[in-house]
Formats: sequence, C-alpha cells, structure tokens
Amino acid sequence: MRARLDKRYLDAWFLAGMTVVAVVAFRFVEPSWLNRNTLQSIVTQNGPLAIVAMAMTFSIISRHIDLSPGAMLALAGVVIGLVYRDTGSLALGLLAGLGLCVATGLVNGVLVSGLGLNAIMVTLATYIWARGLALGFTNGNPIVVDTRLTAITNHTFGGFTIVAPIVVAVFVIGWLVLSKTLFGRYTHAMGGDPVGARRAGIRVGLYTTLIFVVMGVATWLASTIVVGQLASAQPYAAPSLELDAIIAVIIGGSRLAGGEGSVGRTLLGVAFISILNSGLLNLGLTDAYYQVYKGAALLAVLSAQLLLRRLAAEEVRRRQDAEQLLAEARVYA
Amino acid sequence: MRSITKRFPGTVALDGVDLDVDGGTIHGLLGENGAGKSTLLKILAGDYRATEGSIEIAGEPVEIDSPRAAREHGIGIVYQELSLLPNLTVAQNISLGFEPSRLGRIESGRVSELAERALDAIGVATVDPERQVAELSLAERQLVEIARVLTIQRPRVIVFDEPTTALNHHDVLRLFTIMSRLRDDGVGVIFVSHRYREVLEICDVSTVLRNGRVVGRVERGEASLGRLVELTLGQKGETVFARRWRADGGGEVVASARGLSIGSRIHGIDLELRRGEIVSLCGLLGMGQTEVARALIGDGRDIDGSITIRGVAGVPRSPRSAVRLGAGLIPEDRQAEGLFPDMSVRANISISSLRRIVLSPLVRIISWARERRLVGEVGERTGIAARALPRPVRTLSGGNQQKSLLARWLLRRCDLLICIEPTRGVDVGAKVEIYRRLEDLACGGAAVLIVSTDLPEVLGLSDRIVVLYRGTVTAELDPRVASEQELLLAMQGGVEGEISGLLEPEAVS
Amino acid sequence: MAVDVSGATAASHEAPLERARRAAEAFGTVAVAGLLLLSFGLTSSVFLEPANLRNILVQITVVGVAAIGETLVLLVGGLDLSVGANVLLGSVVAGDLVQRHGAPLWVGIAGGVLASTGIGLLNGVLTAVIGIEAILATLGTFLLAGGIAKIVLHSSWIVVDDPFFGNLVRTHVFWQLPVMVIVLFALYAVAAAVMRMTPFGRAVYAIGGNPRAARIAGLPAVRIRIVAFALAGAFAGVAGLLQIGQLGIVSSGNAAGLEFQAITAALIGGLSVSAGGVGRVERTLLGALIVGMIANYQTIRGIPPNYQQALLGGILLLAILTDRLFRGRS
Repeated sequence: MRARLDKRYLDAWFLAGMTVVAVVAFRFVEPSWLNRNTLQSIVTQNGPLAIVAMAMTFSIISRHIDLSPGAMLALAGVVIGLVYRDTGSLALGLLAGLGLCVATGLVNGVLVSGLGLNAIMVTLATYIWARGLALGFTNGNPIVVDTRLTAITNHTFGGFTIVAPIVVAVFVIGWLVLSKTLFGRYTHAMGGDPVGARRAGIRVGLYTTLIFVVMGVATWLASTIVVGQLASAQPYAAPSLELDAIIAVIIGGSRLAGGEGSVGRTLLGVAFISILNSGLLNLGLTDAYYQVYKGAALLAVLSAQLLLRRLAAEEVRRRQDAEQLLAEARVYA
Repeated sequence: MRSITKRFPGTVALDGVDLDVDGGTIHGLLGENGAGKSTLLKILAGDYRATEGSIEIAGEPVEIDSPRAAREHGIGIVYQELSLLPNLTVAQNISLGFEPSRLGRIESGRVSELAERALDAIGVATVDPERQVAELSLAERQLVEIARVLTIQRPRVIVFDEPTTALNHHDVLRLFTIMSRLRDDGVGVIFVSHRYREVLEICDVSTVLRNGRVVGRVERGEASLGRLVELTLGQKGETVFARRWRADGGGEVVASARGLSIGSRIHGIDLELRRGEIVSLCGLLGMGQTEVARALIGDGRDIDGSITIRGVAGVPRSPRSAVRLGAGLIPEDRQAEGLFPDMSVRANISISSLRRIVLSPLVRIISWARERRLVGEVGERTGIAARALPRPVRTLSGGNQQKSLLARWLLRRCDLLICIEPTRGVDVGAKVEIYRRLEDLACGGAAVLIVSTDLPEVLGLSDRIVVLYRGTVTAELDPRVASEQELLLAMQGGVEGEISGLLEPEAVS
Repeated sequence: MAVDVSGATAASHEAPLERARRAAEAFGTVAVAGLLLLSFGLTSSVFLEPANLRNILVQITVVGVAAIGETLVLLVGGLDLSVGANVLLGSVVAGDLVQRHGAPLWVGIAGGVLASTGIGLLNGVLTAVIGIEAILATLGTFLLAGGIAKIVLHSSWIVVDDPFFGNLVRTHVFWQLPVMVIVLFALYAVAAAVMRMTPFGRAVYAIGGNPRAARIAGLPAVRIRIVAFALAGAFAGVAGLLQIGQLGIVSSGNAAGLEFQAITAALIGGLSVSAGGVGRVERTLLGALIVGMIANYQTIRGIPPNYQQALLGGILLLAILTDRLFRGRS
C-alpha cells in the first residue's frame, strides 16, 4: 500500500522537497531572510493568490481554465470603491462587488456549459473587458477607500494579520467541499470524463456553472482583502493573478488535462511560489532577474514532474501485465 | 420484449423482435455484427426508444425512456466499453450519481460500506475500494462495473455486453461464477457474446438474431457449436464478391513476422505477406488480430520477436517509420484515425505523398496542377467522382471516405496495405468497388493484409485466411474451399466434425 | 453486415446547409469587416480619410505580424503566450546591438530575430518533445524571455536613432503607405502562400486537425510542431523590429499585453483555441484590421482607451459565439 502511495505522490514529494531546498538556499544566502516578519509578509501578500488558487483548483480539475480572476479582482475593487464613494456605505460597495463577481461567474458558466464555448476563450474575453472597464471607470487612477476595512485587514495579532486565518479557512472549506461533498465529487467526475459523468446522471451544466461562480466569490474575497490592505481600489491590480494561480495549481501536481487535483497540492504550489517570490525578491534581484529565475524554475519543475509521471505510469502498466500473467500461470499450473 | 421494431432513417435495425428472459436463467443473445444485438440492448437500457413494440417486466408493461428509468425498473447493463471514471476510486465509481448524501455532503462511511457490500456480493476480495480505477487492470475494472450495476435496489435483469473480450481464462471463470450466483438469486441474466464456446458453457437458453430478426431460440440441451453457427449465418450466403485474378503464389515476401509476441496475450505469431497476395487475419473480437496488424504498422507496444518490412529488419517504432518503408494503414475508425475532416478530399489523398506533388525536391512548393493530375488519376482508379475531390471529406458517404483512404495509399504506391475492417459503415454498392480496388492493388504488386469480422467479405476477397484464437495462429484456411460455417467454427476455436479447407490442421484446446 | 445509416443517403451534391456554412466561413469575417468599414465611414466624416486609414494600418502592424506566428501555433493545435515577451526580446537585442554596441545594422536585425526564434524553438521542444502543455510552457518562456529582455535593457530604455528604423514608418511607398505596412502585407502574403502551397502548410493543417490521423498517415508531427513554434518566435522578432520603427524607442512596457491582442485577432479571424487545423492566416489579418478599425473609430468618437478595451472584450465574446453558431459543436 505504501509503495503505491509513494508513486502517485512522487511529484508532490518532489515539490515539497524543492520547497525545502529553496528555503534552505535562500536562508543560506541571506540568513536574515527567514524570520517571523518574512513569514507574515509572505502570507499577507500572497493571501489573495492563495484564495484564487484554491478556486482555480476546481476550475482546472473540471477542465475549464479560467483567465478572469486578475481583471475581475481589479474591477470588483473599482466597483466597491465607486459605490462606496458615491453612497458612503462600504457594505453596499462590498455587496455590489459580490454581485458583479457572481453575475460574471454565472454568465461565463452558462456560456461554457450551456453553449459549449471554450472556457479559455470566454474567460479571455472577460480578462480583456473587465480590465478595460476597471481602467475606464477610473481613468487609471486609484479610488481611495479609507474605511474600517483597512483597520480590520491590517490589524495584526500575534504578528499575523487576519489574512492568515482567512486563507486557512478558505482552504479548509475548499478541502471539505472538494473531497466530501457531491459538488466536489462531481467536479472530479466531470473533469475525468465529461461524457461518462453525464451518463451517470450528473447535472453537468449546473455544477460547471457553480465552479465559475465559486471563482467569482473567491475573486471577490481576494479583492476585498486587497482593497483593505491598500486602503484603495487599484484598477491596475493583480496583473497576472490568474496565471500565477494556474501555475500554483499545476506545479502542485494537478494535471492541466483535468480530473486530478487536490486542495493540498494547490496549497503546496502556492507555498512554493510564495517562497520563491519572496526569496528572490529578498536577494535584491531586479525585476528582470527575478522573472528569469521564476520562469526557469517553473519550466524545470514542470519538466521534472512530467518525467516522474512517466516513470510512475510505466510502473502501473508493468504491474497490471504481471498480475495477468500470474493469474494465467496459476490456472494452468 | 415484445415485437420490438426499431427504424432509423433509411434502415430497419430491428423487425418484430421477441425476447423472453426468465428470472433465474442465463440467457444468451447472439448474432453477427449488425444483427441488432446492441440496438436491442440500448432500447432495454433506455438509450433508445423502440419505434414499435413493448416491454414488460414481471408481466407489467413498463416505459423505459432514460437510463435512470431503466435502473429504477431493475435493469442494469455492464457495457462492453466500461463506463468507469479512471480518476476516481472504486468506491466513488460504484456510487457515482446516487451517492448517499445529506445536504450535499457525501456520507463517505456509507459510500465505502456500499462499495464493500457490492464487491462482497460478487465474491471479490482482491479489489481495494479505495484504489483509483486508473490503476486497475481491465478485468478488475470490469468487476467494479459489475459491482456498480449490482447496487440497483431490486435487480430484475442484468445484461453483460461482450464481457469476455479482454479477459483471460481465470477472469472468465470468475465472471461465470458471478453470473451463476445472480441467476441463483432469481435475476434474469442476459449474456451477449461472440464466443460460442462460452455461451454453450454458461447459458441456459439462447436467442439468435440475424438481420434484425429472431431466427432461433435454442435451449441448453439442443445447443451445439454447429447449430449456433448455422443459425447465425443462415442460408449459404450468396457470393458477395468473386475474384477475377489471383497470384500464383510465388511473389516476393514484402513483410514478415517471426515469433511475434505482443504484451502478455499474443504470442508466437509467424506471418508472411507476399506481393500479389490478399491475406485475411480473422478472429473473434479481442483475439489479437488487430494488435498484430497494428504492430506491423508501427503502432504497438510491448512487442517481442521480429518484423521485417521490405528487407529491413526491426519492429517499426512509429507509423512514420513503417510508412517510409512502404506500408500503409486504413484504420477501423476512419473518423478518429484516418481522415482530416475539414480538409478537401484531394488534400486527404495527397497528404501522405507530399513529396510527389512538389515542383522539385529543391523547390518545396506544391504544384497544384500536378496534385490535381495525380490525385485525379488515382481518384478515377478508386471510383471517386471528380467533382467530389475539392469538397471537405466529411461531406462524403462512408463508402467514398473509405475510397479516399484507399486512394491515399495508392498514390503513395505502398507495397503493404493493411486494412482493418475495410468496409465498416459502407453501403453494399461501394463495398464491391472497394473489394475490386483491393484486388487491383494486389494485382499491381502490393501485399494486402485485411483484418475483418465480415465472413463473406473474408471468404470472397482473400487468397489466404489466417485464424487467430486466444492470441495464437490456430488455423489457416483456403477461401476457395472453406465455407462460412467452417470459418466461423475455426474462429470459435472449434474443430467439429470434418472441416475441409484447412491448410494446416491445428489441435485446438 | 453493418448498415451504413449515416452515409447511405449522402447525395452526390452537398446539402444546402453545408454550402451556406462554408460560405459563411469564407466570407463572414470579410463581411463583418466590410460592414464595419461602411458603418464607420457613414457615421464619421474622418474615418475614411486616407490619413486615418493609414493610421489604422500602422497601429495594427506590430500586432498583425506577431499574430501570424500565433496563428501558425493555433493551427497546429497549440497556444503561445510568450509572443509579447518575444517581441520585446527581439527589439531589445536589435536595439542593444545597434545602439549600444555600434554593430552594423544587419547584425542587429539578425540578432534580434535569432534571439526570438531561439525562444520559439525552446517552446517547440518543451511542448512537442518533453510534452508540457503549451499554455504552461509558453507561460514559462514568457517569464524567461521577458526577464532576459529586461536584463539586456538594464532597466532603462534605448533610443534607436538608426535611420533604417525610422524609415520604416516615415518612408512612404505605394499609395503613401509606410514601409512597415507594406512589410505587414508582404509577410501575410508569404505566410498565406506557405500555408496553402507548401508541404509544411498542409502538414500543419493535418496535425492540428486530427493528430491521431496525422500520425497514422506518417507525418512528422514533432518536427512540424517545433517549426511552427520557432516560426512564431521569428515573426515575433520581426514584429519587434517593426515596433522600433513605430515607436523609435525600446522600453520594457512596449509589448505589454501583446500576446492577448494577437490571440484576439486570430480568434476574431476565426481560429480556435480548442481545436487546431481550422482557419486561415489571411483571416487573422482581417481580425487585426477589425480590431484596429474599432479602436480607431472609438478614438475618433472620443471614447476613452480603456473603454475601448472593454468593448474589445465584448467583441471577442461575440466573435466566439458566432463562430460556435456557424460551426456547431465540435
């Protein structure tokens, strides 16, 4: 049993190993890097990424890649800011933001599941128009949102802000939903074999739309946190959030081809990327070198994972053939 | 099922079929490909609606308009192509679609319980419910599928559709044990199979279909291999096709295989393919003939032994290598593996001969004039209308699509053409045309290898028939002498009475 | 005795629906472009002025050239997210060689194109040989190429004053069109010719249209895919050179979002992200033109640039929808 477990999680172990290596390497180069403050800032800064990545796990498992979160985060923030500015009520603003995100998720979900459009293409459109609206509404200028929200999000207790428990809660909820509810089970089913899932009587349209709505809600939550942290709505916010989220999910070992994935793996992926980001930044690298190393690291990990996966697949096939031969031999013995 | 008739536009798939399955029996459903078995089952399973006729369960008429409805009436089907989701575990698959849940939350304890009970019910202790289906062997997956079907509350009828195709002997016995247990519990078991030996062993009664009609119902006592074969084939078939020309057997060997083994189920295959010869590889589904044919074209795995093509020894590692050596494949599923649906017929034909239609080896630009001319020539030889050539190939009929594939390899002037099910989905008129072209191809000096389960086709077209059974060559027949009955008997692994026309009598288990 | 239900009644002439569908496919995009031209021209006095039309063409040149490569990759069944970074890399290497190191012009040009072609080759190897999905592999190279480009820039910018580049936009030939626009059309003409008239083009369509059948037919799928990605890199490099001409300056923000613009142009032109083997290079040019016309019209009408982007997203959605309507579910 243990031997089998190892093979399947080999790429996750590999990533965990790489994360540890990264931590050690960064600490070696800059011993002051790994301290409480760093940890706190890693969590605080990557909270939104973690939340969106969690929702992206659902998207990728079900074979629908969602490119909208970054632009939607900015747009939601802008909507929150505008409504707050025009009505003085933060609550109303948050509500409006939530409404926008859920509505967009609904529309995208219906387009993908009802009309059969390709998710990448549909969300690419969202990526374009949402950013456009965000920039258009604000002329590129941030909207000041100075409210209690900022105090809440930036208040520290024990060094950590509220972002930490939120992320934890989101992941726990996500894990529960993915592994223990019908919604989670059917997400896996639809990703593994959409036709087979339909045949088994699963309401594919409903659950697919739900996945896009979940992404909407996660994006709203992340947007709220960002608005709070910055005390303003930034139309240029989160320029590559969706791509980072996709990277986090895939590098954690979920497959882009769908059907496989877990919240735990995504958490591992987020951790690795956050640590990589933080460590590289801390080395004082300019934006450029940081980008190069990040790209190279990504490609290296992906290639290694592919190799490992191929080795594991060989094992499984060989074992199946062996079992068959044994059974036949037993009969004729 | 009473007087079941099913019409499709242009054809009648079932015509007044009666099927009576008693509880506590194992009922065999037999017939050739296209006789109507799967259509009948699909109606029973709720995938299709019958055009006419009715279904009764325990004397009560029922309406089955969806798979869910079928399930509710106690009808379960274990499909041939298995419908499990490989990325889920065994337990998850067994309860997929009707998981015990509360407010959306799955009660995983009960899911495991359900799975264990279901697996126990079929006496399987070796499959761990928490394992991913992707890791299971085909036989194990089938067991899971059966377990899933058995979670039906009160099973009345359980259908097994060609379950033994990929199973070894041990697994078949295990399957029969399960079926017997079901029978003993009062369930009506329907067993669909091409393998008559198995049918004879396990079935209490069998219904034979031919051309959409019932041609016989045979009780266990009166059933024999010969009788089943006779019913399946009916009157001596009219010759579908008569060869006009045959090689005199001394042609150069174009391709050969020695001691070929593929995976664990095919072993010791020796084969020789000569110029001017049309050889058929025959066998029941899953006996290995498709794998052998694909190994020759470089599309195989786990291959031991040797293959030689045009004097070059070595198993081709990819279709590209085999094609470069002069081989070509017309696959059984032309939509999935043969045609480029949006490209024109002309482009589909010339795609493997791009080198021949360029202006010159140095100037790698396609000469449309040359392409038009060459494809036109080969299209004429294959019987494709000239005005069809510029159209997207997906607009052509099945027969014309097959001809296009044939033309592709003709244009390439290949020395070895492998056709798997060359006339599947092709209307009668086009079939004969295709046979004639294949004959022309052989006459022109190529070696042709056919893999087919269409018996009249095999008998009419080939120079030599090689029969595979359980992964080895068990007989070689001379189509000029052998009858359809004898061929089917040989494919069933049987030697009952005298079979003339056997080139090399083999002792069969 | 299998009965051919599907094709038994297939006529020797096409059903009218099929003919309509093919006509829509062929002329749909052209019709849309024509319609836009007409309606914009009627509702704005400025739109159809030659100077304005010329302006549109100049604006779409860089994206247009980059989109050629993107189209090739989409046709072969892949996706290239690194195009923008590649464009930047090409212009940076060229600018750096010529301006900072005083190299002869041809060295700069060759260097720029070679650099981006190299990245393209890397993309090809990662996807076709190692087997990483295109979206991820090109994401990685996007970071890589972008980073390398910024490193070479030394976080500043390069003002390129070699007259060659300036002439690309200043010199007017043929109907007073700047050289770079002529280059745009010429490259599209060449690309279209290659796709229609060479074995490579045929192979791309086959491999993208039905990879399994391409394998059985004996086509060298791996090699063709690598070449497609490499060419995408090359075209990106050329686009980078043209951008130097257009802007006169190489800076890190130059090619932001270019890959998505290129993909949008291709999608509006009728290509698909999910299925290869369908579409024509020429239509991408139409797609780019449509996008350019719409942007230009919006500017004329005083619509802020950001709302233009929003509208573009909506148009993309519309294009995808109509494409689905005409093609049906695959």
